[in-house]
Amino acid sequence: MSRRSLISVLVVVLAAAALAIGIAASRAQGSTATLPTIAPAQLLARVAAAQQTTKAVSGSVAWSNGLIPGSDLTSLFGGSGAAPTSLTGLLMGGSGRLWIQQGAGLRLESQGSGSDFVLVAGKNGLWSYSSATDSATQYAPPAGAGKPTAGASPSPAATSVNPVSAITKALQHFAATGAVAVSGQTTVAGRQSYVLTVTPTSTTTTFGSLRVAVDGTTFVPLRVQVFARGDTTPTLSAGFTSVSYRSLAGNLFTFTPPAGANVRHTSLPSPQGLMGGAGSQTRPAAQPAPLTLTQARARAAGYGLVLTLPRQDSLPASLPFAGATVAPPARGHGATAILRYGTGFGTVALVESQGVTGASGASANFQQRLAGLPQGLATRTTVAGTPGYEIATALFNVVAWQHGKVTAVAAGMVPQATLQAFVAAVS
Amino acid sequence: MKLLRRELTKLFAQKRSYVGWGGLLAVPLLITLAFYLNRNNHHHDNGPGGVISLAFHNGLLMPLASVAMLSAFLLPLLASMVGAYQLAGESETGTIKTWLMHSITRGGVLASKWGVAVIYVIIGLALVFVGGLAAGALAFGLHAQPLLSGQTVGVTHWLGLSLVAYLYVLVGVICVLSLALLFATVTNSSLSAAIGALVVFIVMNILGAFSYFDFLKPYLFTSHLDAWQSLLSQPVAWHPIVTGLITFAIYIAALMAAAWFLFRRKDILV
Repeated sequence: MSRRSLISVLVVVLAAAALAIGIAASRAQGSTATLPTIAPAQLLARVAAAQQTTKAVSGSVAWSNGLIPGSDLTSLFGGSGAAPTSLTGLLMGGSGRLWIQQGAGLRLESQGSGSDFVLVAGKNGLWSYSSATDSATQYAPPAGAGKPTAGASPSPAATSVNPVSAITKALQHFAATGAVAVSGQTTVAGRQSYVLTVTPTSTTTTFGSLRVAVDGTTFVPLRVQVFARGDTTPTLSAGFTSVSYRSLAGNLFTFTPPAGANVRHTSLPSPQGLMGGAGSQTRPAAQPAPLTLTQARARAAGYGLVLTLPRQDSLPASLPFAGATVAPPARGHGATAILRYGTGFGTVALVESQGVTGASGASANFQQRLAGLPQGLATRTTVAGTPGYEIATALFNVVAWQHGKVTAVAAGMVPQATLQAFVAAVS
Repeated sequence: MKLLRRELTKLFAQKRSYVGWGGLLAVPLLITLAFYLNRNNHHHDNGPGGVISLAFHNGLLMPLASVAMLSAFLLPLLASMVGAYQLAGESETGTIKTWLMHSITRGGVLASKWGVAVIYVIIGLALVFVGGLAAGALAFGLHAQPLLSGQTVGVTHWLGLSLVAYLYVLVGVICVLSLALLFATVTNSSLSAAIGALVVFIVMNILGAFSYFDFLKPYLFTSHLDAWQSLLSQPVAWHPIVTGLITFAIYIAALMAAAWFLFRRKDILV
């Protein structure tokens, strides 16, 4: 009896497991196409129009980042793991809730095990709050003038923060540099959706494709996925797991720091901040015309920045010079030159920036930024005998090093070998 | 009901019941003592510590901090032990034969065993709640508290949320208890049944910890055990709580149905 009973229990457990896997597999297969066929251009137009007609979007969201090693590991007994405690922590992937209302703002809650990280962009500015550290931060735009103060006046920039709108704009932008297709239909957040795929025309890039699931009824982008070339699983993914278009309460988009919380005011981190200066500079009102190599060298020299340029005879064939810009010194940082090689997604950017605090100061800054990168993301390397670091991911590659007072960064969505050949030509 | 009353009498007469409850009560008291003695050394900058970390400043959080610590292992352990002992313990002592010779249905026996185990867990959780709140109030006082999403709520509101969270944890723990009871129908060793339930609990946790098995997560009850923390954000995210409760209900019903099926056929003379 005992043995027979044990076998019965095993059969029940196996049957339950098979049922669960069967349900999961059938759900993973997606749904059949039930939406009317639509041309890519028509779908892009409907997506752009939906920005004006959709007043509110909210729901549960999840995002993942396959670029950073270990970002999808969760704690064994803590369920979803801890919530991030800073804006950069959001990059590691996570899940939570998102509310967006046109003209009112945005609220994002990243929910972890026992803690939340909340980002509120509303009429009283852009705020973040970490329950784990009981700290609130008010952000000013990166190029904004001066630091904000508590109870600052309404910030138009904050109310215009809208990731759905950003996806729509990115889609329109990418569509101009690649082949656009409606590659199928799927179900996202319980909504029958079109899958709009943009594949870059460049054959020398690691960027495989951008796939956006668009709600078949409202034409709101519900999920965005970025695939590296040759990969079948997305390297980057973000989207709704449940969605609603009901109007939202206005108080969702205001934030008051709790009594006793540690409140600080700061500027938003700039993507170019890694260079230690380029991101802090005020952009010119209009984009200047690209400079030739000779012009770039002369203008940089005028600002005291001596450029180290790649030898033309050693450059990979896919990376011809494509133009340069040189920004003058500003706000305590030296001049910065950005030189572009190649075309489209296969472009490599070489950024050279000069610190004004002297070689030792610049070096310390460089080392600090290296130490601040997520663990396992950057590996130390040597470029022409000088210390540097390398970031190798499925989607992009970066090499940064210093020569004298100048910090140089070469980056692009190109294979690691191509970037290394480019860096060898520079050094 | 008669069977349940009889089981309850036995429960309160057994010393081991009080040992288990005492162990549970000791946890919030020890946590409070440790927090109180370490109150000057704790800084938020030390990193995320979740609900447990917040209890350094407000005794109101001690019941939730305690249950957050207990629900990871000690509470499932106790639930599996009490669930396993109800039937397998009787087999070990030979009293199950005496039981089943009376004119009572096996389904009734199983239901009373399950009921008394649930009551045991309810009393244990009540002790943790009251003990944690009393100790926390003495050590840190009771103050208005910000939710995880930043809005501040009063003491009564927070206590209400804590009570709902405890009810949710109770239903989750009943899954472990029911699992142990199922194993107890196929073995005469309470230790084997308790270990069996714990092994399944740990395996489910491991499966839920790796993204490769993400497709299984919705179907593992262990993936939903922490969903009570959604109560601590405003607006409350009810979806994970409702999903968790539905999952727990399905597990409890399936496990108890399997237990009834097996117990009905159990040869008590073996």
